[in-house]
Amino acid sequence: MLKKCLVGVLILVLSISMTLSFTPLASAKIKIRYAHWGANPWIEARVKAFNSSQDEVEVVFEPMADYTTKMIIELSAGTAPTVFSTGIWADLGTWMRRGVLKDLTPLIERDKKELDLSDVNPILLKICQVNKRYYAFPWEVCGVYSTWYNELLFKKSGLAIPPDNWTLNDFITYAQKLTKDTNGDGTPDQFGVSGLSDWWNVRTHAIAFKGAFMYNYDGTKFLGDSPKVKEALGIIYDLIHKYKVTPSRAMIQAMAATPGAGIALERGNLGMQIRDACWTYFATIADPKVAQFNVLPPPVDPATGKYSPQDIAMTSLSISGSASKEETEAAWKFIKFFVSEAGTKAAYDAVGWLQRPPIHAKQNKYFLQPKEEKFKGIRLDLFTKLSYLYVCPENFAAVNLAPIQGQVLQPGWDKVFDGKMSVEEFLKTVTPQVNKLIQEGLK
Amino acid sequence: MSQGKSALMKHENRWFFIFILPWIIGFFSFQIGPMVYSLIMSLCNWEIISSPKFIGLENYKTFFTDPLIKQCFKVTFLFALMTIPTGIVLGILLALLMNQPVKGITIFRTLYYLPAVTSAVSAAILWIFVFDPQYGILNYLLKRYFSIQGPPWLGSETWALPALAIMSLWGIGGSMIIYLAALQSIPTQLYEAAEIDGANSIQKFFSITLPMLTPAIFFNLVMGIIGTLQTFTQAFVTTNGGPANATLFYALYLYNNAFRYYKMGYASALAWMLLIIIFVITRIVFRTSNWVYYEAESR
Repeated sequence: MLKKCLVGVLILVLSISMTLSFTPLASAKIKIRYAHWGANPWIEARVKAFNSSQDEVEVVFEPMADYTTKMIIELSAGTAPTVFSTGIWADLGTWMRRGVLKDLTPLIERDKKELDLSDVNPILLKICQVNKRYYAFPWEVCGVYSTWYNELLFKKSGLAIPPDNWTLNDFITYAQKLTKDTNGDGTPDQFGVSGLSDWWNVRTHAIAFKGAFMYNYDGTKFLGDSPKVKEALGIIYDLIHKYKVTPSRAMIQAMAATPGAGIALERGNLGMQIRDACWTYFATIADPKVAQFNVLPPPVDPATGKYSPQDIAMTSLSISGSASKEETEAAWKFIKFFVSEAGTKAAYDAVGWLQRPPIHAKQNKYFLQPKEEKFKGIRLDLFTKLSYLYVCPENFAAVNLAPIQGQVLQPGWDKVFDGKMSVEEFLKTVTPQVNKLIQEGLK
Repeated sequence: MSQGKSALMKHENRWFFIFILPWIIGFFSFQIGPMVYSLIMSLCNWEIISSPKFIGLENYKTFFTDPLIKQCFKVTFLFALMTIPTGIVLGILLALLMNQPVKGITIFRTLYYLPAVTSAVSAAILWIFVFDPQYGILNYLLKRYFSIQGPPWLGSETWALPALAIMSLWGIGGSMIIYLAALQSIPTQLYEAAEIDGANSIQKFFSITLPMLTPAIFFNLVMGIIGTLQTFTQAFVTTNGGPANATLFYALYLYNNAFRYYKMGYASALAWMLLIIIFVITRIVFRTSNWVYYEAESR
């Protein structure tokens, strides 16, 4: 009896110890959080593929609304997700300079070969650096500013699709021919060019038309006194007030989802819009009865006979500065998978198309071969063919440009857009103000 | 007699503290700490994601030289002028209507009160559609019934602020309920006595209803001033301060400084300045409140 009890106890002890010995194995999986601004099926597919590809790390995807505000608070409190999306428009520059992001340089140096850096446009890598140290790693390119157009409106207006070497003058002529009062109420309701009330949109057009960068390379000076900027803004002013080929603020408000955000082509009452590759999304949601998307190169600058040089933007991934060594390695493993062919393929297989070109030239085939029927005939290859146009980025990292745009440029441009201020007056007013704010920011 | 009164007062005091206790606990647990911290941060240059640096009264000096502060005050006070008096008048009129003994009045009361409990963000999004210059119902009605081409509302430097004022007046159900409660607590014998004296409806309104409503008016006035000086959601959702800063409310500018411009120190100073401004205005309103009739005091 005693023996039986002893054996029973031994079996019990053995089973408990075996269970306990396996428990650490089960919990050895490192769990890390990954945040992005909102839901994103391409990212979710990558996360899913990564999680099922190995046993050491588990990534929990956290789509965040009001991303920047939440991230600032979490970064400040030291509770930020281990890995998160960053980008030029997501305050990357500010975060890089404030030391809240992990220095990725040693990891990138270590895994250079695996990352296949020779296949990546060096400018993309450059904008992820401050003082030659990496604080982010890019994963998709925001593409060359090209002319998205509604082919249906061109056909309806009897306009031939312009050749690739069309000029800025042709652009204006086309815009004039596309601007129409279709319902005969005396007010145009179809426009040649997108709304130009939003400063970001204005800036995009100024760069596409004339290569007119608003800041110098190191981001320490606003180039309001540059003849190029003056000329480019003058062209935009003429599009609004002289040729009247862009919608008024009221029209923009009526046609756009959010006031001032410009007009999406898919509504069917807009001829052309200069944007990067991300407009692919709208091509998928457009009703083919009102909008058939296609893309042309940006217009050639008649003064140079060439396309204008452009800045570049990308979406990237960063690791929180407060991440432990173990978490950093886990996050880095995830980032490497994210940008690898396996990651890109997982996203492509899940959604059927990619929103923007991946950073590796070799993976571009996935962007160029969308399975979605609506992409048929759209010249997506333009975005990669024209990538030689990238010269240098506007360095958004020097100072935080949000107050400059919010307090000075946008309110000032509002007055230009409403015809209450000339371009000369605008530049004369805002240039010293912007430069003063930059100098204050650099202190 | 005085002993009885004192016992009653003690009893009332006890209940006062019991009822206010949850708020006091909440205030000390969750609010006092951040408030003290923000006071300290208002003396620092703090970019939120980096360590704060003590700069003394620099942020308060900036407040007096910041060119946008003038615009913020202009927008905020104009909005207060547009909404507070109109809100009071409309609230009273609505309460008078809702006080009529007609069938189904409770349904009307619920319907009119509903906007006051609707989420401000949802309401703002709804109003974006209403104010849509081309497809919005407001411009459609103006054109259809008055042959007026409506303005671009939220997209116009001139009309954006009045549009937000209209939006805010949609929520007067909150003050209406307070006026309604005040109306219903007016003793009927006052009206009966006035009727015996031969007073007509207008005389009864101005000599009985309005004076008896003054405590409720005063309450709504004070709350209205505090509320409008803190206006944020409508502008944040609909215009984001534009066009050309035409709707740059003080609270929106404060938020921008904190979370868009990484100037949490300055934003904290702005918050404390707003507190002082609200305190001063409220104090003035209290000091000049001799027009308020408290029935209990006159006994």
